[in-house]
Amino acid sequence: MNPTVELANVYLLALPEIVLTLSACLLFLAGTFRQNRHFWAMKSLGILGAAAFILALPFYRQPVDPLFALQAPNMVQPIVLDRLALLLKIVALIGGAVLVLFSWNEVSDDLAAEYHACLLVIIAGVGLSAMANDLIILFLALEMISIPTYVILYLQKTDLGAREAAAKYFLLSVFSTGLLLFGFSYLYGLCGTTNITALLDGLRSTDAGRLPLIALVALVMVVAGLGFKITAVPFHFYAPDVYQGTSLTSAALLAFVPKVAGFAALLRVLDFVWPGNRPPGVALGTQAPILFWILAAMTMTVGNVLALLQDNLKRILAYSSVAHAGYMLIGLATAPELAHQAAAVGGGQAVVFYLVSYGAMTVGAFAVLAYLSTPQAPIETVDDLAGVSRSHPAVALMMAIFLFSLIGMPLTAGFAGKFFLFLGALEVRPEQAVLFRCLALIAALNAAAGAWYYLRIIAAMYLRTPLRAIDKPATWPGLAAIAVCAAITVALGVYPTPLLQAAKAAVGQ
Amino acid sequence: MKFPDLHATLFWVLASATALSAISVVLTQNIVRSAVWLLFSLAGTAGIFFLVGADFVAATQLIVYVGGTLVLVIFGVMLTAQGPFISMKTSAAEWAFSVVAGLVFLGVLLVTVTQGKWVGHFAAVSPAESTSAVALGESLLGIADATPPAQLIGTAAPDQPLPRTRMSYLLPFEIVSVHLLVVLIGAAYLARAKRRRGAAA
Repeated sequence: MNPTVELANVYLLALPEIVLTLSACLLFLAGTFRQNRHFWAMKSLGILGAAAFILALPFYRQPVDPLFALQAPNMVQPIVLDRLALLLKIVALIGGAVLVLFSWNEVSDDLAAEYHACLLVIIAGVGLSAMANDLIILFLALEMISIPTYVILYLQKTDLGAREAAAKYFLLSVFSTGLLLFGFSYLYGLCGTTNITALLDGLRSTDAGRLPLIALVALVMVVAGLGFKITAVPFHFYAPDVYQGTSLTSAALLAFVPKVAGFAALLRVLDFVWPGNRPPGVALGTQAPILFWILAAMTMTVGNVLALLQDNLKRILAYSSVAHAGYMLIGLATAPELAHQAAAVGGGQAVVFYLVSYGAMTVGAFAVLAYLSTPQAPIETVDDLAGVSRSHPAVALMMAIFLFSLIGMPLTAGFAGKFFLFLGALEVRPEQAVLFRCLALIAALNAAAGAWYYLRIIAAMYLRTPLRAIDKPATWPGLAAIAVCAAITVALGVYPTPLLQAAKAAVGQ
Repeated sequence: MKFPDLHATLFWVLASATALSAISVVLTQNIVRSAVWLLFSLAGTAGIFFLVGADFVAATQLIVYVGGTLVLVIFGVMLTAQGPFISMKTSAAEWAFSVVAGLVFLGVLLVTVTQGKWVGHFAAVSPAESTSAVALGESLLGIADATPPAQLIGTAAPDQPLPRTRMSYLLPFEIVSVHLLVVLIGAAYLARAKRRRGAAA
């Protein structure tokens, strides 16, 4: 087999992203001529559909293999379309479509074109960061998510709180980007290449215990930089303030998109994704699982404890986003251990599964809040949701599904995701068993504590009498977004196998 | 190397100028003075880059930091300052925090310097013979390979290099242009929103 693939062919792999970006440029340009939110939202849906069509085209009437065979395993190329990238690109496109539906009526007519263009660039950035196999491209793809996010944060709302939120997010995000670049520069200094496959190959040429100390510095810096994107404690400070200050659409975007990109980058750079016969992922030192153990325990606990104290729904969901990042970090802590043994569900696999489930349930919850809010009477506190089950029974039911899923009730995606993560922590081989059983115990306690603040919202919706009438005219895009999220949440809970298999193939465990 | 003494002398001159200006940046309380000291510090760093033969990085340092960022700082002060001079008072707690942060960072850097048997380390090139910009240009166009095979510092080169595709910096370059476009749109909105608010008031 001739492993050398022409550069042009490699760049063809990014064709859906190229289409998204070019369309975004057109939207920026044409937005000056026509100001109509329905028109531009429809166009964005069409563009996302076109990108999905291009992504699916090579697989038409062929088994899945040819496109992957185009790239030899362990191939040194700047971008790869492996199964992880493909899965995350599909997730990004579906997520993008849901976000377009969700924000359909939330953006004003004169800003619609720019808003949707920024959203398309963000989706393209997620796709690119899932495919990036080079530190430079990975960094630029992550920035392709961050920079339009700043613009969206500023575009949508310009009151004092929103401006504070935008400034806060911007400054902290730039700082974390600096940390990430610092870590990347150490990786480059260690190995003399920016290609991630080649870099990990070089790191593995020595025993993990005998790595130079700077590998550890690189590990800490990269985790810190990406920790901001996934709202891991102690990089979570911005989340509650920014979510509260900004609009519901931006908050949903912030809760979902940076997490996908951040975990994708962590999985790739820290060697949790390995095709075939390579040894499991501790290329950057044996300390990595311990680091993730500590991060996971802190993130879960801080997120849940602080969420208990909140009354504002956006702040509750912000701290819940922190807590769920903690659950996902368990997967990264257990992944290197589980790879040594024939575990039923590997760590990286569980993370990918949870990422999709979390995206569906949290975006759905934000979509419900946006659906019930009007500019005059926004839904802000738990009290505002009192008695919703009477005025909007269907929407209240779907909100209950999202909240039960966030708690982790059986038959919802949240249960399946938590089950696989906790199972992994309990399955770790005997030498490390005590350590990871403790982690599973902390996680179980956290899940129980988390149930309180989610149940409070459900109780308010179903058991209390309405404090004020919620009279928002029904709009189909908002309802569609909620319905899609609810369908994914229930489907993954009832029948998790397909996604689980896809995730297994993606991370190669 | 032809003139080791000249090289060494230049290094010490540039390094001490950089370090002294950096200390002055921190100690000065007037923000404009601080910015001017930063100018010397950044220019000194650029000089050191020239000295080790990294001419492209040095030129970038001059254009982006000395030419761009610094002017931005001055503009920022000019446009936001209430009085002619801004002085920044730092409290004891801020001092303590920054000293700790600085020491931690110094520790990290010292570890880096002492641990590093960096790949191809410190091959001093005379600035006249430096061709790093040429190499970068070639890898931008995909003529030369931008990603050499990895070699962990202190170990032998891998005997079986991985199969590879030549990488060029064209795609990253295009991504950067998308960044700039979005930034431009954002900046336009920021400015326009301000005018709209001003008109309403």
